[in-house]
Amino acid sequence: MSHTPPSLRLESVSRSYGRKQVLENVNHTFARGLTLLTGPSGAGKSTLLRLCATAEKPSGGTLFWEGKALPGARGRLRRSVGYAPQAVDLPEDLTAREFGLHMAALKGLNAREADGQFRMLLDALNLSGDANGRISTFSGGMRRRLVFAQSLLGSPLLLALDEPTAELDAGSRERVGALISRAAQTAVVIMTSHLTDAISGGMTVLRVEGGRLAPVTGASA
Amino acid sequence: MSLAVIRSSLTTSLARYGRSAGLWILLLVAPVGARFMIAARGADASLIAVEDRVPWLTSPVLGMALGVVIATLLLPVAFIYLRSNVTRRQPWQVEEVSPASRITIAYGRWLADITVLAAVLAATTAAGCLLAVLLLPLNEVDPAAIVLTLWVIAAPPVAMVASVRLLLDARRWTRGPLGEVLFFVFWMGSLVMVMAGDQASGYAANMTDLPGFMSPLSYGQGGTDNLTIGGAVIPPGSAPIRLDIMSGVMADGYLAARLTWLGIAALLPLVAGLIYTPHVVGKTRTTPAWLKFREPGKARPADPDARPARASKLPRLALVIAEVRLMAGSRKGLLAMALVAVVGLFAPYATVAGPAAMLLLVFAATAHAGRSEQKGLLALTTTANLSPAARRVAFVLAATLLALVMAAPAGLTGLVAGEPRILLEAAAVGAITALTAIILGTLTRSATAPRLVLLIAWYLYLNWGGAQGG
Repeated sequence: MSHTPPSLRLESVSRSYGRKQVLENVNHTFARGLTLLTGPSGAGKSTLLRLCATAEKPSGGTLFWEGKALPGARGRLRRSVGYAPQAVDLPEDLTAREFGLHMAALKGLNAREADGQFRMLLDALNLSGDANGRISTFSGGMRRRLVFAQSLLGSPLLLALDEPTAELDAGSRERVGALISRAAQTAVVIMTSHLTDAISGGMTVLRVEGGRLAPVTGASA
Repeated sequence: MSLAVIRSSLTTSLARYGRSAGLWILLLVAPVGARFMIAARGADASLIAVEDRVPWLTSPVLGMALGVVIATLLLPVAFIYLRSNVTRRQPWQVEEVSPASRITIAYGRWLADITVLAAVLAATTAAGCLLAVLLLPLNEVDPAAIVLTLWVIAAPPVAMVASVRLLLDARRWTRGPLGEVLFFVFWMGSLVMVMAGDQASGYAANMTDLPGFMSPLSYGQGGTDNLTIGGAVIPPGSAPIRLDIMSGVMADGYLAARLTWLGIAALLPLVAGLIYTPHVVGKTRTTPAWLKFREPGKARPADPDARPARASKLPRLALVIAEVRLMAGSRKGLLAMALVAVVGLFAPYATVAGPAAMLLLVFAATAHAGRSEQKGLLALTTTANLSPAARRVAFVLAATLLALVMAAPAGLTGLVAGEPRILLEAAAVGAITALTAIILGTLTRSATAPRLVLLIAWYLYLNWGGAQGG
């Protein structure tokens, strides 16, 4: 494990879908701590998260994980990333625990330790009573917390979270917020959310608009 | 790590299969269906015939008959089961950013698919042994012969189906309708190849025989290719034919070829893992200017003074029109249908325009059926004024209407000449296609099963049209 704080650097990164330019010449270094992406719907926040999580490749420019350029360092980044997208085709017929352990296996984690950590995460998210319940019986908020829980498995150094607090009640938002705040002490956490009241501690706020990334003045704490 | 990924993919897939009703239905249907795959001694009809004669039932013949029917006629059922069942839904959004190798995930899923299909073969084998006890003198019941012949014939093609399914799931383009078309080509190709192949024995000849029926059926029959699979018309008074199945199975190169096919099937998950391309979230390509006509066009500007919509005076008719619009799809679909209608004026309807119209309808109807029968959408439409059942009726009417429109130029020309056959045929084809699409789409909540079944029906229609035209 690296002793220097983790960082993800974007250098002249752009992403287009055909002629539609979603991100254009984005330069930024995401350092340890929480970064909140704001901006109107369709501005490219989720696209930026997908690029950071290696779910997509940029059309131009380069990403650097801990100083190493992608795609060469993609494997290294994937061993360190926790990703919670907005929508996941969850395997409805598995239980929450089975899904979590499957994700742990894909992440290359020790099965016994992953089981313990996943129980702890489900408990922290008030889902431990549903660990052996089929996902098909889960509400929207429970699914959201489950996807969030799998993103925290292992000790991710980069967390990419797309609206992790959407569809959650106030209590659940508090719980998710507490886990995000804790993760931000050691990891690079990049998040999109319209509900940030549950997050304690400092954060950097960036605005995505017109394909560009700009700091929001006075928002960084 | 790799073994852990294989184990996890295997166990989660098996758990999912085990919890779906589909597996238990398949395990129940397979043994029940086995009874209809074999002809008892003295039967005057059979799914399998050699030289237009019913094979004399023995234990090896019984195993062979079950194996051949599975390896030929039932392969599409296995494909539909795997492709449209519970495991079609995978959490790829989070799996694809994991460090796990796609090859290991592919092998885990392949092993699960193989296990499930092997369970179906085992259930059929058990049914075969029971049928042997019921249909044969007890001293002729030989379970080992049944197991050997059934598994040697059926296991390689069944394993290939699991592998082909993985291959088709590995690429973006083949995850959709093209995948079903390619499987259909693979299946037909496997049947055609053996019939067109070299009838000589030996390893090379047996390698052209993926379904594996040629050597067991034709051994000792002077290399005959007069084999019927799928329903034979037996001339009255024909004596049954005695087949030496075991010698055919043990013939030069046969077992080696079967093992080679199994080896190929076992290697294909590796290929599937290597060629795997991630899913895409956004649209990655825009339509080139010269294909802009396919696009829906610009939306009309909004009227800020628009009134709230009133109830339709003819809601059921409006529903049928809406279904026609959704089924015909984009301008591309409408253009293709117009083209088929025009072709009907100049080319024979039975062999050209009719099959072309049905093919268009198959893709249009199954895509729409797969979309509209999704659980979430159904939950929404249940609350609408017109029920999902009314929409399904409108779906059938819309497809029939589209079939009639495509047949109209040729049909009306025929009608003027006092021949209504084309219009009647078009209406029947449209209605049957739509009914099949909506029934299978509702049962499986997917377009895969109706599309593949209708592609097979289309092929039969094409040949029927050829026979009528010829």
